[in-house]
Amino acid sequence: MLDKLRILAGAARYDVSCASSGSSRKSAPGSLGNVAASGICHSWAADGRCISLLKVLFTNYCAYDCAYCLNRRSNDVERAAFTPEELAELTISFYRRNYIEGLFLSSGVLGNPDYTMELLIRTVRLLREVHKFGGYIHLKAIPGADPDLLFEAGTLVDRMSVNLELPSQSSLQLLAPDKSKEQILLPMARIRDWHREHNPEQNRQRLLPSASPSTGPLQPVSRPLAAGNFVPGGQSTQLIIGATPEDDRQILTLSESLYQKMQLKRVYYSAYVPVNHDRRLPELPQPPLLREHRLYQADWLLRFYRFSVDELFENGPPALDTDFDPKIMWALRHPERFPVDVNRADYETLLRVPGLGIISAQRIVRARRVGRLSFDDLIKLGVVMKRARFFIAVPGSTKSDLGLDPDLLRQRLRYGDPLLKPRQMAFTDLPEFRREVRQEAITGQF
Amino acid sequence: MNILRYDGSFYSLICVLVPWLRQRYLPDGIARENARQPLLFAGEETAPASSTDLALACSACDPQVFRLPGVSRETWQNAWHAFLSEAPGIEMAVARYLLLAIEKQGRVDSFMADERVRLIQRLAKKVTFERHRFLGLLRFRSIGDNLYYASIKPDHFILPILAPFFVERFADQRWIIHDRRREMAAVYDLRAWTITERAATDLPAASPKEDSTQKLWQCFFDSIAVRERLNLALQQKFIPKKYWSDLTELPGR
Ligand code: SF4
Repeated sequence: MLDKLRILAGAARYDVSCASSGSSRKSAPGSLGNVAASGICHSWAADGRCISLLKVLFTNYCAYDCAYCLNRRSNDVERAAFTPEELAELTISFYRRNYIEGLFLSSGVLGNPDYTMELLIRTVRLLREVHKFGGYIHLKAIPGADPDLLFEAGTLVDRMSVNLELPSQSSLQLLAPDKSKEQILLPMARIRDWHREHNPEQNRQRLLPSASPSTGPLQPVSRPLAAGNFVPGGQSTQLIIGATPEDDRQILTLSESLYQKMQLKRVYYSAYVPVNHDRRLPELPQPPLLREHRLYQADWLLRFYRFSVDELFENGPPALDTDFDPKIMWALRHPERFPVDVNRADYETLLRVPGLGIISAQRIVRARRVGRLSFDDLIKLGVVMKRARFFIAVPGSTKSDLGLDPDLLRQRLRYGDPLLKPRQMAFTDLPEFRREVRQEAITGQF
Repeated sequence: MNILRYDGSFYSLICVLVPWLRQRYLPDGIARENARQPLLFAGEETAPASSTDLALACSACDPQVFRLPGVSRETWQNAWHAFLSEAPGIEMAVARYLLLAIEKQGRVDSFMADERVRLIQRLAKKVTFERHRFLGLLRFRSIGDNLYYASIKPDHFILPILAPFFVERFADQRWIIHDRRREMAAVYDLRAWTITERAATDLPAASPKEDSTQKLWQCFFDSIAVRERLNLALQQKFIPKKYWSDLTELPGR
């Protein structure tokens, strides 16, 4: 068992999406397990990434041959497979000791997609029905599996994901010859439709306006099910960054359309870690971590700060700035929008000020109701002024902070700010994101 | 000099304070009488778990019980959480904050730049942050038939706000959460939970399967890290060293 776990956890580690959020469930009286709405990190691995779920492959045997994957058919690696019983029991024994929030189950393709999917479903069914497990389950849909199996799985788990892996059809053809874009997008669209059908209130509170579905006509496959019981945590996907030539703008445009058209909860970005030698793959000295980090920041702006991709890249190249986070990048290109009057500006405008996060903006809006805010007040509110001071107008701030020409501003923003010095950066280094990260317990993206 | 005395519990603190706050006065000082009695009434010994304890625990932070005008639920929670920080002088800080709350008629928490409010909000945040941390970092080990034990050493007295979470999550297992710093324990017996004083000596032995499960977890913990992205500093930022001794896994490698 120890060996199996070593192999199958090791094989799952390149998968980034591990967030246990987006769902919440009370425990049934006297039973085991619930889902905390905010997600909880239980530990942090030696790479600094949060461990929230028991993340394993059911098996690393695989009939496919994706170029970027350690488990591809043509690789000579140690292979193993759990049985559904073993894995269910392991999950429970970890959960009862508070090691984890739940299970994140993925798998190589054992024999064929349907057979694999059936094994996964059996595992999850054991957990829910025999062990009465009420904790979090995230299941990876096996590309090519039968829609009936997909639906069945969706009724048992909190979140499902179908990994896109590569940001374009041509890259997919080149590096994952057994998969096609349709094979991935079709199940995504199905999950979306079933989710929409069975979670009526959730869909009403969506953050982004949903465009009309564009993935072509799906036969309406309506199914009876109690409300709220189909993947209440929604679906997510993962993209590998740096293995193929797509630029940041292309990648984010794809994400934006996935959020809007597929109603995904999350898109995860994973800096490509070379595990195979393959002529089709680039030789990278290091995984592109900074790029991954910038993409996450930009993604954050799309989901919570009401930016659009077009806006973000307006007047600039299709790559994110490496020196500055995307919000500063945008602000530097739009001097006409600043300074922002902290005592007057509406919430959405405040959100666009570099250095002001959601929490700071909310605190400002609340505090200014009972009195006009000065520079010192902002500091007392806990607003980090290091960057914000260049972009706001507030009584008590010195003139010299404002109206700098963009080049000088660039200099000052860069100078003396240790966060912006080139080094291995963590997503959580940026204070404005830190709090929110904690709240959602996002886990994979560091 | 008016020095109020209370028994160390939040409930008792509020009981002695309320008459003063109603008159809009502050006492000159507040002194803690005896050992920690976090939730229970004065003089009550450690009682076996019963549902009334639970009810008491909840009422201890229910503003409605005291009908203080202007003290909202949020304000009440802040005061309660800040109190659990056990910061020196917290009693008077709570008194000043509540008095201001009455003066501001429900809007006190918007005055975030006022020192009285800032102090309480900051302490409350520290406490709830530590609680959140332990929701994840707390580790149970099996010490008997459906009986689990966890040891923690939190900076603040978080047991009263930590336990309800685990009551909900592990409703079908019996458990003990032992605060080693204070030698207090939260105990849940499938029906109700309570907080008791607990001696350091009676540390329970692990059950037979415990060792192999711990090994499996350590194995998972080591296998899941991507070695190409090794970042021990970041790991330690999230799990400060002071928590390592109570973890099952072994960080820092
Ligand atoms: S399907 Fe492709 S990515 Fe998935 S395990 Fe098999 S080879 Fe790897």
